[in-house]
Order: sequence, then structure tokens, then C-alpha cells
Amino acid sequence: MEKLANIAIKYRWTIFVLVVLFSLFFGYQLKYLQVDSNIVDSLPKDDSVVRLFKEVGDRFGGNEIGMIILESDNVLKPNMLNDIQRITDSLSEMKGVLSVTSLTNIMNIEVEGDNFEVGKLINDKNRPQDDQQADSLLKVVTANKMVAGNIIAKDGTATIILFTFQKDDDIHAVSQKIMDMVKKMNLTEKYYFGGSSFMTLYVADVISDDLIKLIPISFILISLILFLSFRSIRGVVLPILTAALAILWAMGIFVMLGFKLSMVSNNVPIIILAVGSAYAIHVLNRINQCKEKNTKLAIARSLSFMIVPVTLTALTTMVGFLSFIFGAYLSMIRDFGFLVALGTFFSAVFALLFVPAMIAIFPAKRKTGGGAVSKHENPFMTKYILHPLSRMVIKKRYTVLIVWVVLFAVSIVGIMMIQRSVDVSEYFKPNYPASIASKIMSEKFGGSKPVFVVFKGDMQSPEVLKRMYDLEKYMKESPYITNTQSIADVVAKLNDAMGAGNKIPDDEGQIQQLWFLIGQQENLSQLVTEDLDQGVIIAKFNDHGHNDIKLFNNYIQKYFQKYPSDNYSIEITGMPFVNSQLDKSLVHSQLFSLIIAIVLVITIVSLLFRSFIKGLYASLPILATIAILYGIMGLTGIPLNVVTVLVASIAMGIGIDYSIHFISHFNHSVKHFKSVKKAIEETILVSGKAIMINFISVSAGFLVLVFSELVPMIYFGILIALSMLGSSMGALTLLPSIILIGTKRYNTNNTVVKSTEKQNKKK
Amino acid sequence: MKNRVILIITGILFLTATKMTAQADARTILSKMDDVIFSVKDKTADVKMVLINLKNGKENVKKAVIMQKGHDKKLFRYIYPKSDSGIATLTLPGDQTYLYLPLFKSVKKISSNSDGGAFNKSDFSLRDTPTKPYSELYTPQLTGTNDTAYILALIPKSEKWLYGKLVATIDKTHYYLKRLEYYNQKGKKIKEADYHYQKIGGHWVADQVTMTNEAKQHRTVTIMTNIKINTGLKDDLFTVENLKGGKSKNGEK
Repeated sequence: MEKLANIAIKYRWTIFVLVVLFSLFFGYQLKYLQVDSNIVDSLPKDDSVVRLFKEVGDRFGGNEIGMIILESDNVLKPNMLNDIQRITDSLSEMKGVLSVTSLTNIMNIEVEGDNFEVGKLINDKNRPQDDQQADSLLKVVTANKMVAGNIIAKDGTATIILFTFQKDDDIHAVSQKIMDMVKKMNLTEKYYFGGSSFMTLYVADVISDDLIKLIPISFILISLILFLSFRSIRGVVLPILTAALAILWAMGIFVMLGFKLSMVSNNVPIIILAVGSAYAIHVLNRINQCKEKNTKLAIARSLSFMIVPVTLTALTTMVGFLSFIFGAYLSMIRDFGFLVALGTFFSAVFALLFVPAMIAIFPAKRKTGGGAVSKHENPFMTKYILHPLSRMVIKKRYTVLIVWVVLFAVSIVGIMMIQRSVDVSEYFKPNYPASIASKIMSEKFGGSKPVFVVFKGDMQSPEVLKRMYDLEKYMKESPYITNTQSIADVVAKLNDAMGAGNKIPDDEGQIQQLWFLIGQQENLSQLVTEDLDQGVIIAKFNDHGHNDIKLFNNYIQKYFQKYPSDNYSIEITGMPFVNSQLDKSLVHSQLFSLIIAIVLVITIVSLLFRSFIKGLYASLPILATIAILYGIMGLTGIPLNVVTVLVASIAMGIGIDYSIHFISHFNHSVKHFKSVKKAIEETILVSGKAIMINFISVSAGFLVLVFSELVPMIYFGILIALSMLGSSMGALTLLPSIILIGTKRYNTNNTVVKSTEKQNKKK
Repeated sequence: MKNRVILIITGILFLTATKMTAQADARTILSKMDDVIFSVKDKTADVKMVLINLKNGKENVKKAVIMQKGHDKKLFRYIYPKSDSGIATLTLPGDQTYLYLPLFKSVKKISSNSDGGAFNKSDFSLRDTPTKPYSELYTPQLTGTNDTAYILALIPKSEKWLYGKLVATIDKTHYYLKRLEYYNQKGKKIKEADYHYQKIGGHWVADQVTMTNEAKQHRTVTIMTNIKINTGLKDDLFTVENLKGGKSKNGEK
């Protein structure tokens, strides 16, 4: 351990120069940083629901449907139609857009006696020239079942322009281009963008805004707390610099390895800032409190004391993050785990090498004294928090334990009530355009999430088309589906136009002849493959809770089982089903990651303390904290989602640090004082201070996330801060209470001397 | 000073005269092209349509027999593939189109309030084969010439026309259409048709037209064989009754 201190001191300038050079290099790599917020990209490719979802995209020209929603008192007014026409025309010509459907280009088949008219719904003949004509046309259009509630709201106050994307184009780049194009049009009516590509874009926007807005706030807040705690510039600069360098290095390597930032990893800088500064805080705190006059000796003495807890805490924190690599369902969460683990590693390395090197280069005046540590660096904290805390723990250890047990019991009730949320549209605040768009789509157009029922079979066979037509009716009888669209609808409509009724003909020849007419339908490729061997029902799913898709799936599976056939197969997919898979996976990955983290952390701590009991003791506060955390989530209605699912494992990784620092210090103190009570008092006063500083700064760093525009981020910030409160209080109250109660069982005087003597006698 | 004024006036007159001459030339060229295209009184032919998806190279073949009298009476009767056999369409003056699907045994009048696309996945829309001379529908502008052809921009006289403009490449020697490019209202090219002609009975007749839609990555090649012109087709062949009955050019069923 002395060796490390010697290296840090002897090669201080080399360390400094190397850190600067590598930082410049990794900083340069950030130029290539990219954001990919699409959850679909992050899904495992071998999942059957995901595979079918991607297949639909490939075969039917896009599983991604984009929407521009326009609102007005009557969307058929002349100026409104002009705007719809402008947008439709511009979209049709845009590279990357496969097909566009709107009020101004949607085809319509009108049957009147022996005549039928094929053409546009709004055309030169009926296009309104004034508001009065628009009102008359509205009655006709909203009575048309093919369009009402599908492309125009039944009350005529909203319309959507639907479009699909070319599969080889970057749909997010195209969506961005569309957004910019519409903004430039200076439309007078209200407009919103819908569909998952725009949701992803909104998320990416918020991520960028959050990064720009929140990171500086986080830095300032942590700096302020550090200044109040250490009362020195060095006390502020070193922890912040360590964290900043760790962020830079980790992100640089992340980019070099070809990873992209996601809606999960955007908060990585804040996490590394909060976590990474902790190691430097502990090292600095120890060097500051060391009464050794000579700086180099103080560094050597402090480092020999700190190397174990810093290595151990970094290791356990990394385990917490790395558990995502093995446990997570989404690749974005795995990437996140890797990135933060990397940042944690660098933070610890910098704390043990760079911080001592910097102190050796820029030594401050040292206070004189013996070799022991000073307890009075921060009289306020010591007098008003740490002293009362240590007195309370020593005198009322059973009360402390009972309070924790009660909190744990209440949490169990809360855990039963925990909810899940995986729908990206719910991630925004209610007044955000993405939320408004979702609300309009849900209320006026029967939802914005497409569900695809894929038929594989001969798409000109009466059997297949009849099943398709019947299934659509069955789907619409459920409370979740209001609109469906398929080639069977078109065939039935044309059959009606030929005077044979609105149904699928029994004769395959008749279907083939109707197909002769279908050739003019521009959007045909969305409904049927060119080889006519696959067709799809596109339905819009309108859910009101995460359980709805499960109920709908059960409903639809009953139908599939009732009508099996050797001539065709039916499968269902769509974003709500992908979300459902995601939902299931959240629980599994959460449990798996957490179990991995708990087992590894207890193992590491037990190995390093060479005692399983100590490993278990160290883990108790954080285990209790995690239970309380879930309890709070259940009781307050904070849902489990792709971001909050990370909290428990992160809390495990960070929270265990407090217990490790506590036990590590306690072990040293108990040898020095030969008394458990005194050792606990000493530990609470010295290490407790670092724990408190760390807790306050980490919490402040995370609480900055409450200013995020993304709801899960807000919850994430609050939950991490809560878990830090829980684990720090656990380490400073529950842990010493258990030690005191445990020791008392063997020794009524709470002294280790006697117990050691007893042990010696036994030997 | 006086000389300068005279020079300017002469220049303006010269430019105006040149422009007028160019317009007159453009009109003459278009009129001559109309004379060539519309010179045939009636026509019968076997038609093969090859529909090509340029994205994957997949081809789809359709065959039909066509009978045409003037340019506003046209009967198409499909013979291949089997599923389309017997399907027929009849176009009559006034953009009236009738459709007969034999398995439904009924004739329906189809009206299109717009371009309406085209039946059978073809790249030709219903309005791509004009029933009136081009010079009646468009105002021509001579935009260029090369060794073998004139290039005319054809601006629709009606504001509500499907296309913003057409650009026609017309053979200098024979005045037949070599290429026709279709542009939308914003001036973006939508598709282009390449024509191949042969002389039959002293008249130039298009025997192959290749229509390519780059945006849709689709192409339709129409090949006509067994072309017979001016055989004196009777008007009663172009009736709704005959559409259903399937009378041939000889008046036989």
C-alpha cells in the first residue's frame, strides 16, 4: 500500500502530464458522440415478438408510422386544406418517406347505382371554397366510415397526415427533416408530431437539453456542498476534477468502442459526477484529517488507510453497474452499465493516484499533531449531526433497530403495490407536445400505436380474406381497437362496388378480378406483399393501462386458437406487444441484476473483510434501503420503467460504499481504542463525516434531475437521493446498532479487549 | 443620341419578333406532331404490357387486344393472365370509362375525379393518352433543339391539370414524339415515357412505349404487335353492350 503512495508522490509530474494528454485525446473522441434513443434498436433481435415486428417493417414498407396532427374547429376549411396539401406534397417528395396519406390524397370509392367513382376524397369538384361549404362537406366526410376516426376526427376538429418511412433510410434523420420542414411552413393552426420516431426524437431533444442544462447545475451544486464541507478550494476542485476526468475518459472510450448515448445513458455524466467524486472526497477527507506535518507522509499514511475501502467501494459499485450487462433485456441498459462501471473505475484510479499526485505537487499548509485523525474539521456537522447520531445509536440501539424493522415491514406492503410503465409517450410531462399528441390520438383517433396482424398465405384466397375480414370485426368488438385497415376491407368494398355486397366473394376468380382494380391503390404495399403471399391488418391500439395489452392479447389468442388452419398462419405484433415484452423483461432483468449485484457485493465484501458475517452486516443497510425504496415506489405510485429499473442496482453499488467505509474504519478504530462503543463513536465522527458529505453531494447531484423534462429522470433523481439517504443512515444507524447488539451478545461491557482475551484463553 | 434610341427600338423589335417567331415555331412543331400522332383513323393491335418493379427486378406480364377509333374511343380486352381474361375497359368521348368484370357479369361506369392512377398497376394514368390533340391542351414553348430533335415545354391551358408541365422531345424529321417527361406543379419530374415508332400503311404508329416512374421505382413497357390501321372499325364496337358481349373487330362474338 505504501508502494502506491510512493508511486503517486515520486511520479506525480508524470501522472499529471499523462492525465492531461489522455484527457485531451479522449476529449477529442467526444466529437464523434451520437445519440440513439430508439428503444426498438435496443431490443434483443432473437425475441419472437421483436423479430416479427421488424419483419413487418421490412415486408410492408415500414412498421414505423409517422403522424402530423393538425387541429382546428373544422379541418376542411379552405386554408386548412391548403396547409394539408402543402405538407402532403412536400412529404411525398421527401427522400426517406415511402408513402403519405392525408385528407387531400386519400382515395375513396363511391358507389351509386351502376356507377362507381374512384378518386380522391377531396377533389376539384367538392373542395370547399368557403367556410360554409366546408361545414357541408364535413357532414359528408365524417359520415364516411373509411376515414372518420381514422384520418379525420369524428367531430372534424383534428386530422392526421400519416406517413411511412423508406426502410433503408435513417428514420430519425427523416423525422427531424420533417419537423424542420413543417416548422418553416409557419402554419396558423396547432400541429403536433406523433408516432414512435417522433417520440424518440423528442426524447433525444430532451436528452440534449438536459445534458446542457443539468450538468452545469449539478457541478455548481456539488462544488458548493464540497466548499461548505471542506472550506477549501482544493476540497472543491479535486473531487470535481476527478469526476470530470473520469467522465471524459469513460465517454471517450465508450465512443471509440462504437457505442451511442441513449435515453438511459444520458444521465451517465451526472451519475459519474456524483459517484466518482466520492472516492476523491474520502481520500481528501482522510489526508486533510491526518495530523502528520509532512505532506508526503500524510499522503502515504492516508493512502495506506484508504486504499482498501476505495478499491472495495469502487469494486462493489462497479459490480452494481456491471450487473446490468448480465441481467438487462435492453442493450441500452447494458451499454449504460458498462459506461458507468468504466467511469467508476477511472474515478477510483484518479482518487488513488491523481489526487495524491496533485496534493504532492500543490501541497497546502498542514495542521500539526500526532498520527491520529482530527474529528473537528467541520464543527457544525460534528456538533449538530454526528455527535447526536453517535449518542443515539449507542444509547438507543434497540429503538433504532425497531424503527428500521417497522420501515421494512411497511415497505413490503408498498412493494406489493408497485406499478410498471414502459410506454415512451408517458415519459413526458402533460404539457409537452408529445403528451398532447398522444392524448389527441387516443381521444380522437383511437390511439397512436399500430398493431399488426400478419397473415401468411394466399392473399387472393377467399378463406384467407374471409378470416382476415372476420378477425377485423372481432378486433373492433374489443374495447381496445376502434379502427382497422386491411386488403380484405378493400376487396369487400370493391365487391360492393361491383354490386355483389360488402363482403369477401366466395369465388377466387372474382377476387382475382377485383384485384385488377386494386392495382390503382397507391398504399397497397403497406397491406399486402408484392407476391401476394402475406397480408397485414393494421389496427390502432388504444390502451389505458399496462395490463390492457395483456388482456387484448388473451382476447386475440382465443380467436387464433379457435380458427386454426393449414392454409395460413396468423401472428400479431406491434409496439404495444414489444412494450409488453419490455414490461415483462423489466421485472426479470431487475430481479436478475439485483440478485447478481447482491451476491457479488456480499462475496467481495466478505472476501476482503475475510468474514461472511461482516460481508452480510455491511450489506444489511443497503438491502433494507432497497426494500424501502421499492416500498416508496409502490406507495407513491412511482412506476418501474426503463430508467427507474436501474435504481436498485445503482443504489446497491453506491450505497454499499457507506457500510464498507464504516466497517473499514471501525476495524481500525476497534484495534486502536479496544472498545466497540468508542470505535463506533470515532467511526461515526470521522468516517461519518465523509459519508455525510458524500451523501449530501451525491443526492444533490442526482436531485438536479428533478429539473429534467423526462418524467422517469425526475423519479430517477428522487429515488437515488432517497436511496443515498437510506443507505447513509443505514450505515450510520442500523449498522452500528447491529454491531453493538451483536457484540453485546458476547460481551456485556462492549469491549473487544475482553472478548479478545477470552479468545486467547480458549487458544 | 438619336442613333442610340433607334438602336434600342430596333433591338426590342428584333427580340420581340424573335420571341414571336419562336412561339410560332413551337406551335407549328406541336401542330405537326399532332398531325402525325392523330393521323390514324382507327387501329387494332395485340398489346403486351410488362410491369417491372425496378427495386427487385420482378416482372409481371399482361396481354390484351386493343381496338381504337379516333382518339376518344378505345376498347381494351384482356386475354392474359387467365385471371384477367375477359376483363375489358371502354373509353368513350367525354372521359367516360366503363369496366366489365366477366365473373360479376356487370358493367360499371367508372368516373375518376382526379388522375385516379391506373388499373392493373400500370405506370400510365388514365389521362396519359390524350383524347384531344396536344395543341388543344397545352401551350408550347421551344426550349431547345439538338441535331435530331426539338424540345418543347408544354404548359397546360387548364389550371386544374394533373401535371405542371410536360417536356416533349420531337423528332425533327418525322415529327413524332420521342420522349415525354411529366412534371408536377412544383416542377419536379414525376415520370418519363420513351416512344418507339414504326411506319405502317404510310402512318407513324407507336409500337413500344416505356414509361418509367423513378420515384416509385416502377416501369411499364407496352409493346404492340399485329398492328392494323384504318380498317374501318364500326362505331357499334365501342358500346357498353359490346363491352359485355365481346364482339371482335369483325363483328363476331
